[in-house]
Amino acid sequence: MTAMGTPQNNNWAKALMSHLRRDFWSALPAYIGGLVVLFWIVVALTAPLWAPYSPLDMVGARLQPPSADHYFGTDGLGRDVLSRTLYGAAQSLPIAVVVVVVGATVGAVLGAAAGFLGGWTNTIVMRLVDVTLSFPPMLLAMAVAVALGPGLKTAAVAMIIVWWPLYARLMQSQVISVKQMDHVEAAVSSGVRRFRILWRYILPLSWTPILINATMDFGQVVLLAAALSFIGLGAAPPTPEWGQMISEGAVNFYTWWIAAAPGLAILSVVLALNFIGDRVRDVLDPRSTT
Amino acid sequence: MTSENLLDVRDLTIAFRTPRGYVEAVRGVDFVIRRGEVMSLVGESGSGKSVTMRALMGLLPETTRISGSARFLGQELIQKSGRGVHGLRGARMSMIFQDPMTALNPVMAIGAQVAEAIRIHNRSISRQEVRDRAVKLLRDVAIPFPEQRFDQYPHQFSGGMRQRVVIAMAIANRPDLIIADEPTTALDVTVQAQILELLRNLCAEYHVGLALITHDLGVVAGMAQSISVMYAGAIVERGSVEEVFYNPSHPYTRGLLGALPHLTGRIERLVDIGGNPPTIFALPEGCAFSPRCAFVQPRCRVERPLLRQVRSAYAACHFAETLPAYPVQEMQA
Amino acid sequence: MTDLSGTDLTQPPSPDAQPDAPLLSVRRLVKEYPGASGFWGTGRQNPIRAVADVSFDIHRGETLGLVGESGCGKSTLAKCILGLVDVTSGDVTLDGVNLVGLAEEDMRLQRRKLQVVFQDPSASLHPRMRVAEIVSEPLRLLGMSGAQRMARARELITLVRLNQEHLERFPHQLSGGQRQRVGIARALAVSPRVILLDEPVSALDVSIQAGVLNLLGDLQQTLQLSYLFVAHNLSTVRHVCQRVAVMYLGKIVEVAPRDELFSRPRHPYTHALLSAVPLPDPKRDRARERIVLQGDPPSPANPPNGCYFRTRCWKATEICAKSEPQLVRHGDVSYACHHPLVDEVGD
Repeated sequence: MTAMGTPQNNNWAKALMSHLRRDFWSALPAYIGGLVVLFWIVVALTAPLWAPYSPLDMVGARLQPPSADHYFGTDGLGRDVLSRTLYGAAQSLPIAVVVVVVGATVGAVLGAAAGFLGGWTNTIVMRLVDVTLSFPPMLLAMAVAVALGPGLKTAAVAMIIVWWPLYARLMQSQVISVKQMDHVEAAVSSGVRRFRILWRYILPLSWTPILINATMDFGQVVLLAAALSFIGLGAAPPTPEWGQMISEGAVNFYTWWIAAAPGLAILSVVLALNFIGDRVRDVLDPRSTT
Repeated sequence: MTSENLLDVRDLTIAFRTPRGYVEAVRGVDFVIRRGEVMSLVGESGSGKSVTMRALMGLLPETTRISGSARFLGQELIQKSGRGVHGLRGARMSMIFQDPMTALNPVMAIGAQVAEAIRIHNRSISRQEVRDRAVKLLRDVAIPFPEQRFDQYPHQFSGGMRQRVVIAMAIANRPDLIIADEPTTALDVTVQAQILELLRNLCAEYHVGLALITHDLGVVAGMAQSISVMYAGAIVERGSVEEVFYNPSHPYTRGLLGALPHLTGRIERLVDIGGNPPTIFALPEGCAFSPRCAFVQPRCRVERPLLRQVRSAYAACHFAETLPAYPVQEMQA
Repeated sequence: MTDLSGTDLTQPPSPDAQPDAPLLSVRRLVKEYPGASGFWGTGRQNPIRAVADVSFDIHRGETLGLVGESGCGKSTLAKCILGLVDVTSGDVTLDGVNLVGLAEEDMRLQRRKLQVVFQDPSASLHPRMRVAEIVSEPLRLLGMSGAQRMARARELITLVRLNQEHLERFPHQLSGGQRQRVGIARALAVSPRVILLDEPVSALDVSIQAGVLNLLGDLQQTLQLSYLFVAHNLSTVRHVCQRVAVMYLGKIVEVAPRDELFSRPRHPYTHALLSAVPLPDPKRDRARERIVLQGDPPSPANPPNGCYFRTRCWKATEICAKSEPQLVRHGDVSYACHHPLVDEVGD
């Protein structure tokens, strides 16, 4: 409502500048997050060009603390931790992207169907969600991964199975609440087709929480993948994968540097995505529309 | 009836901090409330009527810039801050809000809330005495079976009953002034009638001043002795209800009265003022009502009219005297 | 004014309808909500009768007012007519077609004859659609092309006295009154015969209400519309309605032509309701005899036996507790009361 009247000309430029400045500061964390994510994408694609050593070769003495030769030390087999971390991006990031994207899509579609159609569809989908969520996520992922055989791909499938119900439940409740909004009832009353109601009236106001949650969940998925690797169900050694590396490093507290580099990598990705997620929420939340 | 001035507000100006700097929501408001009098502040949403009263109650955010003077029982409310005024406000001056549900604590029994209102300003009395007084207050506001209802929670009360509880809390310390902000807007018309009757009786019985903030001219007509009409943060007309309702001097007041459908009399086409009230961010030059005014003159667009005496009332209009005679209302016949 | 949508409004109604049959006819409509049940699934309470056996007609070009306090069932009744909730029993006949039990697609096609304007225009418009799109959405019902819809949207926006430039705005860029005009334009889009107005002005400021009410009156004249005007404000209802139905606790207690109802209410509740409305006239408001009802309306989950109003009625006697008064026609006035306030007018 505020911007209805045209501001007087002499104040116009000033108002625009202060607007930009305000927006810049509130968007700054998201910019930083974007840069970090971009950095890791570049690393994942181009690790061989930068990494000082091969990730699989024994290039130094075992268990060396950080030094000028090995910035993040060497692991129990004498491999360079920094190189393994950089190469690890190409393993850990794609799996997280796949799990979140597929999980969110499957969950959102089923949740939207359940919320919109109601009745039996709703009952079946939501009971499935309840059953899946009633397992401890780690246990379920383990069971699925064991059944399908170890490996990164099956770990991804296992994690999608663990993850979709969260989105389905979120989407279902969101669709139900939007469905009851006045403007949806108004559209129904004025004779808009059912499918169009869902597509044009409900979904555009329902998917933002999914998107926000997806960006936030990304870090969780990296960590779950790490946990699966930790117990030997994810990436098979000697493949460099962040979770796998942390599991090796966590065995001995005194060789902290083995876990430090992949740990920092995960931290930076999770933090960056949370910054982006926050910003996405601020911008897209219908309540903050002015 | 004494005509002692309970509250004397002079040139009250309130500015809110916004990203675009301070913006004036209330601009130079004056009014007086006497003991035993119902003074009504009328206006549409955004006219500044609630902001004015919230400023007097000290309910505006710290960043708000308030200037002018508001003397309550001879004490200045505006410059003061801290405990002294807080005590004065709660004990001698109390407030009734629009929505009785949000004004009550949902997880606290009704009686305990009334008792707390008593004890805040009177710590020395015993538990039993507080309870007795709270029950009496609930009885005073005509809540049936006050002893039984004492231990019930707000959700067990209807909207009208909740508003009675809020009123009981407001009169707990025998205030001199009650500020009621749209006290019946959230209620049904038959319940509104009950609450208005209660307020009317309490004012007469306790001899308090009542500042009634409302958008409903019907409520004003039945309740108030004097009325101030606000538009875009300023009072545009002030006077006794008879003067303002039967002989309004400001085109906005005339428009408002003409826009109301009536319950009796001939059915005529309603007066459509047209346009929309300005936002405080983009006030027109000169008279704030000039873009919507049917009698606008060039002078209105450059010079802001001040509130001045017109006949036995006050109006902020350059041409109040030269407006066409106000049509005698059908309903008087 | 010519008909704007290209459909002929003067054509006779569907052949199976009687020529003087009411346009919209509601018969014995009941809407029950299941009562709350206990934690263990036991002790289910009585169903809540939000609408309890309601019948009325609306004729061509007529405005019927439906008034009552919150919780009286008028909003639920509106939703039943619009097919937004399932009806428990009864019929809603629109232009000879019973809407109750229609298949979804059939109901959708009937909607071109029945449109609605909601109370809160800021909630009832899609927040991320431009006005042009909002207004032209219902036109898809008529199978119009994009260009045709746009042309019709331009006509509609003029019809509700907004400007062409408003078509490009989003709802949040409009004032409350402008938004409600957009809501009216949307309802007019498909040239309906009946428009249900659900508290169309109660969310608006006083100085804005008059313009919207005048607009609705003018549109009715030029487009030969029938309105069902649901409201709680009796003064507004008096201003726009030819006939008025008063609801209390899910039932219609009185239906009468406007002047009869406002000058000679028969049902005590109608009388109390009228007497509770504050008049914007100091002398008259203070001079008049006021009936202040005691207490609150009873819960519809647990209504009193006999007459629902007897718990608050000053004329109630034994018979009111024993037998439930039926809505009976006396001339052109109908009321459901054992002790009407004015002697029966001769049939």
